Amino acid sequence: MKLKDGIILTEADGGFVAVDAGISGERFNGMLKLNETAGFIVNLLREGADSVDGIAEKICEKYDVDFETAKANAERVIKTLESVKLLAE
Amino acid sequence: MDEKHSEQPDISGEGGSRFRLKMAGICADVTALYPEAGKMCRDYIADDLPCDFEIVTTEKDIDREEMSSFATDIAEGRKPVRYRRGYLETLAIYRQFCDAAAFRNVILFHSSAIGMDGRAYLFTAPSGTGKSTHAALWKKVFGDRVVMINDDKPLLRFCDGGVYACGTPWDGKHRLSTNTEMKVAGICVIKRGERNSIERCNDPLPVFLSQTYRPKNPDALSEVVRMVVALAQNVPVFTLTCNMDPEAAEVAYAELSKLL
Repeated sequence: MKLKDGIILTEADGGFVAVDAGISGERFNGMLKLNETAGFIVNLLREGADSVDGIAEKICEKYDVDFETAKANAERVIKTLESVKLLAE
Repeated sequence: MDEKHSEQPDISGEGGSRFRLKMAGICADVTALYPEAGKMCRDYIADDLPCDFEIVTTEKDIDREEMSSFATDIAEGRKPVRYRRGYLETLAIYRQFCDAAAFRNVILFHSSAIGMDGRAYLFTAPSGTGKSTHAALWKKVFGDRVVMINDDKPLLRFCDGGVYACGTPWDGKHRLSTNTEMKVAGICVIKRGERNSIERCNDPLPVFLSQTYRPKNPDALSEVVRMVVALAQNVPVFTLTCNMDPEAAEVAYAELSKLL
């Protein structure tokens, strides 16, 4: 579970956008809008986080949620990242 | 050639050219292998200003543009054309310029940029939707009030006072541009339709990103994304559904002029 190289994360509209630098051309779909928590998770991945449990713990430290909720949240975001091909194979 | 003008582009010979190019407030010294680039840029020469960076092209850069143009033709469903080396070199030059410009608050935004009464309006959409066709309607309806800043690939310069659309000679197949810049007052994302209508566009970021030149270098791309986000947040954006009647320009202007 690793973020692809060249993913740009920029703040926008109170959340973030992640952009895949590897996709060129006009028919571009390598963009994902993220809310604050999702942006936080992507940032953890960028910093090398590699387990869902580890990410969930960090979410619990930052936000007032229980571990199960945090884990479910992390899993959902990772699934989304997978589906738009922002994670390395 | 006259000694005094030896800095001017070599527009007569078959060889390459060296010239100082100024666009969007940025100066670059260009060393080109073919004469096309110097000819094309002759309205954008600034020998008297300091140079920000150099652009040097190689045959390899031109090969790369050839492959990329081939891929674009295929992707957009056109029959691939064999382009002249000199033309492909101009693409390589613009690419290098835009890669460096990203660090100087300038992006390339694929659109038709017109100026009217001192303000710029941009029309963007994927290729073939009719950006230029719509811009031409403004010219038809409003005549000399309309200036074509750049019909295809204007540069946008971001500064504290706003976003400025800047002319460049990379200006589309009809070769329409003016060496000028105007503050961007509004942007329309164009869609083809039977009737003409215009409404606020709430989520322009995906189309904006797809129509902006995105450098390969992650640091440069990061700058570009930051500017595109700022563009989407700070400039009013509309979805303009339009046909090819002059009325389309009137409908667009009726809404855009409210921004004044």
